[in-house]
Amino acid sequence: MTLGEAKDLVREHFGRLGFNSTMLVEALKQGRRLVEQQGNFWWMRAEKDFTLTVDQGEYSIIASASNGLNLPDFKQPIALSYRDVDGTDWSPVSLGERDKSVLDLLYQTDDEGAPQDAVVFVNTLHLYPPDPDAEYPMRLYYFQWTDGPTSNTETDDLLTQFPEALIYAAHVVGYEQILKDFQGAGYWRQRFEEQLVLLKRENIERLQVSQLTFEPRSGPGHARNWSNTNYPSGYQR
Amino acid sequence: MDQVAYKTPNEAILVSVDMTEKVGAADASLASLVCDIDESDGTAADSLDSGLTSSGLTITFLFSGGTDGEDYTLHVKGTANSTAIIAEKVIEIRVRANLVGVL
Repeated sequence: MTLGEAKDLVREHFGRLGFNSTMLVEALKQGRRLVEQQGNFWWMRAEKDFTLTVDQGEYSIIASASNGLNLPDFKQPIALSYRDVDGTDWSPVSLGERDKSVLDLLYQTDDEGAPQDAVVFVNTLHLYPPDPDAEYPMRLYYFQWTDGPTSNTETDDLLTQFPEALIYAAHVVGYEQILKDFQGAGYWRQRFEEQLVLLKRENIERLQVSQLTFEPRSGPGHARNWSNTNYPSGYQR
Repeated sequence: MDQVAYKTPNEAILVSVDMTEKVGAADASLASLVCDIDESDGTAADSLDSGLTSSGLTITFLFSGGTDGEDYTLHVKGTANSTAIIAEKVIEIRVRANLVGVL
């Protein structure tokens, strides 16, 4: 279903002149936000390639200043990888497994080397050791807030496979704002929540990262790039 | 013309926009006529209108074509000749090939 078709379906309920187009667009956007606030869905996945700056261990996620990643719609990190400067293999960086307060204790402020640990603290990506010794290529996998199509003739996964979620959410807004029928709005809110259940079920089946895995945090089974010998002093293997 | 109109992609409709309520009785004609047309995503589509003219305080033009399923927002502007009041009205034209029924 295209965005225009979704609009027409909502309009038929209120009269084609009854729902101001500007407010209808906002109602559909609100529906998308309500869906995405419920969890991290498959269409929200994204990845960002960037390059480290030598001796810079902090990078803004939402801004572009100071070599920031410029991801204003960033929601939640998934994973982080790095490559050697001329390498072709990606190596994992332990992202979010330890709190910043713990990582600050594990590393010295002037420790140098390839990134081994990372944490997102508020809207900043902190790397450890805090002084990268080369311009390592990095790849951040993350979930982002989406805007959806802006043109009537466009569509996306949410509009194609679960358009009712957006349509019912727009009905809730219309019933409350235009018809002042709060009981009717409650009916459409219930229909919207039914769609959320179906969405979450589909999301679990699609997103492998939603599955729980148990991985040893130390010992031979722990995912580490042991070929990198540039460990700071006192680093515990 | 109503603030919202429907047409099929093949139709060419005459659009009349009366600016009397905006300009008032002190002026009798308009100049500097402008019609800016945007698609639903803000893309300009100014080639869809033609023959922009005014008679008194009413601006008239022909709107033709358009993509099926698209909503076009038209900003129609004119400047009153005597008072220099700039009058603008925003109307919407929805192009639909198969939609039937009343507004």
